[in-house]
Amino acid sequence: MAMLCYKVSGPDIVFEQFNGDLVVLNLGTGRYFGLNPSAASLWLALMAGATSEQLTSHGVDAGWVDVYVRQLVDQGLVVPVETDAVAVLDETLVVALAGSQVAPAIESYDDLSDLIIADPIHDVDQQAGWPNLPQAKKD
Amino acid sequence: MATRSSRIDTKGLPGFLGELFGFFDEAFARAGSEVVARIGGSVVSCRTDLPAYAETVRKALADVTPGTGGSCRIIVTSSGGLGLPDAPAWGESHYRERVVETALASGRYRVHYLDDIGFWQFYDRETDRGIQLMAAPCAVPVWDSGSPLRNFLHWHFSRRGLGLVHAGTLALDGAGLLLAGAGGSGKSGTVLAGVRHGLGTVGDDYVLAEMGHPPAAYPLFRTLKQDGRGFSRLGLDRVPGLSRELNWQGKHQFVLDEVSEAGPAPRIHLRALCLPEITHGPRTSFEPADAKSAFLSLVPSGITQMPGDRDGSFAFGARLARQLPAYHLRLGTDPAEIAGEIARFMGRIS
Repeated sequence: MAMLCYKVSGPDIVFEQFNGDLVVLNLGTGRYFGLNPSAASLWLALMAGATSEQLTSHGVDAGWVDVYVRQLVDQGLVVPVETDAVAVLDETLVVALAGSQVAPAIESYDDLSDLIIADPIHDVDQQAGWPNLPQAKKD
Repeated sequence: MATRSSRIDTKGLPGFLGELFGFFDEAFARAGSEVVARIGGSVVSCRTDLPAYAETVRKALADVTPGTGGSCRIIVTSSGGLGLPDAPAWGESHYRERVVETALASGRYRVHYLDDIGFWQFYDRETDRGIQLMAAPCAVPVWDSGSPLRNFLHWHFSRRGLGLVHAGTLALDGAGLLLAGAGGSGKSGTVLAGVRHGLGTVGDDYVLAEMGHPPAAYPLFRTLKQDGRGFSRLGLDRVPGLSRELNWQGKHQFVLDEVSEAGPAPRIHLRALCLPEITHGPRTSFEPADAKSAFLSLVPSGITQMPGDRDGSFAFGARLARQLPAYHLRLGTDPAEIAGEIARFMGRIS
C-alpha cells in the first residue's frame, strides 16, 4: 500500500547543516528557518525518503511527527509524494531519531523576505531607494 | 550599426544578450576612460565613456592583490553610448528578479535590473565580460558609489570558487577576523576602531572570501561608512581633508586610505568569525558562538543584496561558518579598548 514521503517543494528550497542544527532557506519567499537538532534529524530522514510511519517506528513521538510535517507543508518547504519504497536511513541518523528527547522546533525568520521578493518598481521607498521598503510596507 | 531593442521580456533575454555581447569588443575599444584593478587574483578592467563614473570606480575599488591569471572586462555606458543598443525597457508588467534568475540559472548570462531608474547589468560568465547599461549617465542606484560593479564581481568570482561575503574584517600580522551582523550591530564602527589603532583590514561591508586551510579574505572596495556619532567618537572629525558630506544613508562615506596609512591589505588569513554586538558596557569581551548563529549573521543579508547564484552563495557561506570558530564580540564603548582587546584576542587564537 502506498504511503506518503516528502520531498522539497522545489529548487528554491536549500538547506545547510551546522553541528546538529539546520537552516533552510526558501529563495522564492526569502523566509529562512532554523531547525533544532530534533527537527534537523527529522528533516534529514524525510529528505532520505522516510515516511511518517517509518519515523515513528524509529522511536520518534507520532504526535511530534504529525505536527512537524504539517508545519513543513504549511511553510511550503515540502510536498507529499506517494511511495512504496522503504527508505534506508544512515545508522547515525537512526540513532539520532531514537534519541530525540526534545520536540522538533522550527524558528522562522522573515526579516529579509520582504527584501528578496519586493518588487522594485512598486515596493521601494521613493526617497531612500532600494533596498528600503516604504514605511507602510514595513508596518 | 547598433540595433534598437525597445522592450524585452524573460523569454527574449538570452537572444537579446547574445546580440548585445556581439557589440562588446568594439565598444570596449572605443571607450575613452579605463580603470584597472587587481582583485582576488583577477585583473578587472572597466572601460567607460563616462569620466565621472570612471572616477567613482577608481576611488572605490581596491587594487592591491596581484593577479594569478583571471580577468574580467566590464563596459559602463548610458543608452546610445559606445555604439551599443539602447537600454531596453522591461516588456512584462513587473520585473520579478527571482523569476528572471531562475530562468537564467542554468545558462551563461546573469542579469540585474532596476526598472525605476532604467539600470541594467548584464554578465556573460563564459567570456567574463560585463555590460552596465544605464538609461542616462546619472541613472545609478544611490548606493553605487560605495560598491560599484559589485554584482559583476559577484558573478565573476562565484565561478572561480570564491565568494563575496557581507562582512567587515580586522587583522594583525596577516591573520584576522570576519565581522558579521545586521545593520547597527557595530561592524563598521569596530573596523574603524581597529584601523584607527593600528590593525589591518581588507575591507568593511563586502570582502572576497576563499575557502582554504585557513580560509582567506581579499579586498574588494576601499569604502568605509560611519554615522555622525561614530564619526566623532572615532575622532574622524579631526582628520584633515576628510569629507563631511553625507551619503544616501545619512552616513559619512570615505576611503580607507584617507584614515589609515596602510591602506587595504592584499590578503588576510581568517581565524574566526565574530558577531559584534553593541552592549554599552565598559569592556569588550569574546564568548564562543555556535556555527548556526554565525551563519545566520553572515549569510542571509548578503543573499538579498547579490542577485544570481543565491544557492551557491548560501552554500559558500555555510562552508565558511562551519570551518571558522565563531564568537560573540560584546563591544565596549572606547575605540582604543575595543581595538586592544581584539588584538589580544587575535594573538590568543593565532
